[in-house]
Amino acid sequence: MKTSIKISRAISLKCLGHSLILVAFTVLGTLSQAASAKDSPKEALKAPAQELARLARVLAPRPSAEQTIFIEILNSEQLEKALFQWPSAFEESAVGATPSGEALGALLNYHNGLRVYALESLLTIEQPEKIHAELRSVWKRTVPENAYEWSLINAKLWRSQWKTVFGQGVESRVRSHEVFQAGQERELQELLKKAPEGTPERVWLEWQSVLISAVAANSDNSAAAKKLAALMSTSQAMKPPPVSMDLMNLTAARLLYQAGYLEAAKKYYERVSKTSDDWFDAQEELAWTELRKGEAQNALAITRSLVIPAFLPLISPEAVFAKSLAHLKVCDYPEVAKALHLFRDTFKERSRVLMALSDSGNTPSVDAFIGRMKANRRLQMTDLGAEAAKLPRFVARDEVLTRAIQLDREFEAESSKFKDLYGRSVTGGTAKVGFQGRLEQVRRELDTRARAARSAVYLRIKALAREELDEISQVLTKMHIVEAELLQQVAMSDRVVKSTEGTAVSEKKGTTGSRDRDRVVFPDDGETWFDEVSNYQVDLKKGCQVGKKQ
Amino acid sequence: MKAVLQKFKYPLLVLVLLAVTATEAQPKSAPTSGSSSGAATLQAPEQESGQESGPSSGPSSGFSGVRTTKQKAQMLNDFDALGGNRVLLEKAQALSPETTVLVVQNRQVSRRRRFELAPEYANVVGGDPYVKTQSLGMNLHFHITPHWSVGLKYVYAMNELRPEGEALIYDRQLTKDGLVPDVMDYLKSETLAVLNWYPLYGKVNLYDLGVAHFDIYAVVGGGYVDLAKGRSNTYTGGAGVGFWFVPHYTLRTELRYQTYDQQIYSGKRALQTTVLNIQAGYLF
Repeated sequence: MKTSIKISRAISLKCLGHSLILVAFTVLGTLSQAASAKDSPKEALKAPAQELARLARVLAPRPSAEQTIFIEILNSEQLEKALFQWPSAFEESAVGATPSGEALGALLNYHNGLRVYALESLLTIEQPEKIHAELRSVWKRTVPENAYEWSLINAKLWRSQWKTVFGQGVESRVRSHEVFQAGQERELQELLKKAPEGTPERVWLEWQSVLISAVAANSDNSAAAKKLAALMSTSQAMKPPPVSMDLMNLTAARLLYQAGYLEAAKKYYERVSKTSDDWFDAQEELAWTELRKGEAQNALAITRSLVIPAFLPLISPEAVFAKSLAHLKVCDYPEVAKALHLFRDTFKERSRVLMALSDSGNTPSVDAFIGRMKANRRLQMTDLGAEAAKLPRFVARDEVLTRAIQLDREFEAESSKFKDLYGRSVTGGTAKVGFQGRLEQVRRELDTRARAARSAVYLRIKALAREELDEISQVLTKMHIVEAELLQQVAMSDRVVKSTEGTAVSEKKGTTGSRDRDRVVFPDDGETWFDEVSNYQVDLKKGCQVGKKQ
Repeated sequence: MKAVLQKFKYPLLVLVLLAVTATEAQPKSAPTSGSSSGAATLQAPEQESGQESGPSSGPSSGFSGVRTTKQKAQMLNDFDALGGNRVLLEKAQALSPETTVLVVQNRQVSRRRRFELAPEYANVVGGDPYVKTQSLGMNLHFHITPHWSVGLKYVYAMNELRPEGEALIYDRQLTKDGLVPDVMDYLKSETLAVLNWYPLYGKVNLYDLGVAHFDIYAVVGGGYVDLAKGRSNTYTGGAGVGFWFVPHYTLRTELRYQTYDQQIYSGKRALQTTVLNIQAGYLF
């Protein structure tokens, strides 16, 4: 009984034990599966440090002591410490001098936040095809085609061999920020073929193609117009469009003006939004269009909006020139004189500001602007308020300057990050000494690059200031000619008075302002209301005539 | 040579001006190199080594580049020389044109073939001296054009005795036993059809926060009033101001004369009232 009980108990206990063990295994198995299921996305992503460690083992199958320390540091996921260890582990070794070694070093820099520096270092490798296949694959996965860093890379570093590593689309991403000149159409077309459809890079390249077609000597406007029409159609679907629709409308208007289609040009000028910085140029050129059509009264109505005091820092000197010419054409000599004075008072002071900027691009206003651009990436002149008067007119629209500021921001951030790393390297490095010499070299390279980026920004500001000064100087010459013409006409006015006495009075009704059937009409009493901007209409009677005797 | 140049100074300058204006009248080319806005100014800034630069550096071709101190001073002096000759301008006034500058702009709020639903509050400021009448109502306007609209109004009236009426009843210093004023045929509700004409418009600057357009209009209408003792026809006419702030919201205030017959103890009398109302509406 006892035995049987014993046996039976043992069996039952054994069974129970087995069952328990089975249950435990099942539970544990389930748990571990769950755990591994949880880990597998992380595993699939391949944590950078571990990936670097693995690649280091691949490149150095028989590692030296320093290399082993390097790998161990990476296994404990200390990327920063690995950076400090790198010079002693690899730079002095045969592996470090190979393309694969250089690529691994660049990847380490990349994962430590020195992204642009790392990519540019990678692109300087002479023979990318000799980089280990696995490392190339890791680089491609780490920096995909749409990575932001590609837009900041120096395009001159790109070589076609890198297509095999990163793909064809990257080339267009890197090179789309180049500025192509008139003789580079073929190069541009080759690059266009490689740019994927519907990407901002393609749009930028197509835009450059439009500009080159438009400004080339003996250019065929129709070719540029066709390209522009296609580009506008593509860009409408993109939010936001890489090239603003206002700028494209302005360009379309200019092409039409150039070809003599003035009415069509007017329609495109009117499409430029009032909230855009391009609106001032559009209105000025619309005034020129009206002058060319012989509708001086319309030109006067348009320029009436442009010369309100709040807009004077934002307008081109040609706007005042157009105004003065329009007044001259209708023999409104007192207003011509007023326009001359307005030009003098406005642009003399502006010239002083621009002269100072052209000598030193580094002023408090410029620094404040750069700071805001770095924070906001895009600004309009109207966002700058009173500071706009102390900056070149195209400062917010110049793409070369915008990119230079982006580079400045990125390099400054990398330099600052590396300074922090360097500061920690004193205590955070391994026991080996002497590696800081290499780090110091990198720090100096980054500093130099950051300073160069900042210098490029100031140089561009100076260039913009000089361009605007030249523009003002040219228009100043024209204004002197207007004054001479004014005096000439005044001197001959007696003859005009005699010849037009008694003739029927000519009238010219303005056609600017609202065309809506329910429009409202108010008199212009000289006070400026902002809702009235670009809504003026000027009617003229007896311009350059005396009319019937009273 | 100087004398020849002096003699022909003006004609030469005219020729130069004609040449310049002919050049200016040339179509402005599409964004050129140099100061063009937007992308691809077809040049790059001067860059230090290690930085990206475009195919060319420095300002675009055709510009003079860096100015010397002398050139800068010369340019500033050129400004001072501008507009100095005013003496002859007086002679040429006869040729000056008559210029009329107008502001021609869209209406802020379109009122063509739109409905407006506007609840109102009204106060009868004239009429029966013993009864104070206030009302709440609803208006439905149809704007045919910005100058004409038609509407329907329904108003529910709330009445109470004025202090004078209460005094008649309760003030024993006035009457020995109290007098009940003849206010039995009070207004209960009214239904009107109105026609509005908006001949005058204007706009107001609201402390630089924005601009609101308004219209001054005349209103005439007729309908019926429901009184305590029956129904009576009514006619109304007056004026108002309507503000149109944003595309859908309206604010009106009106002052109307309104008349209807009411029954009193001694018979029928024509009650003439002045109604002041305010409406806040929605345009759709």
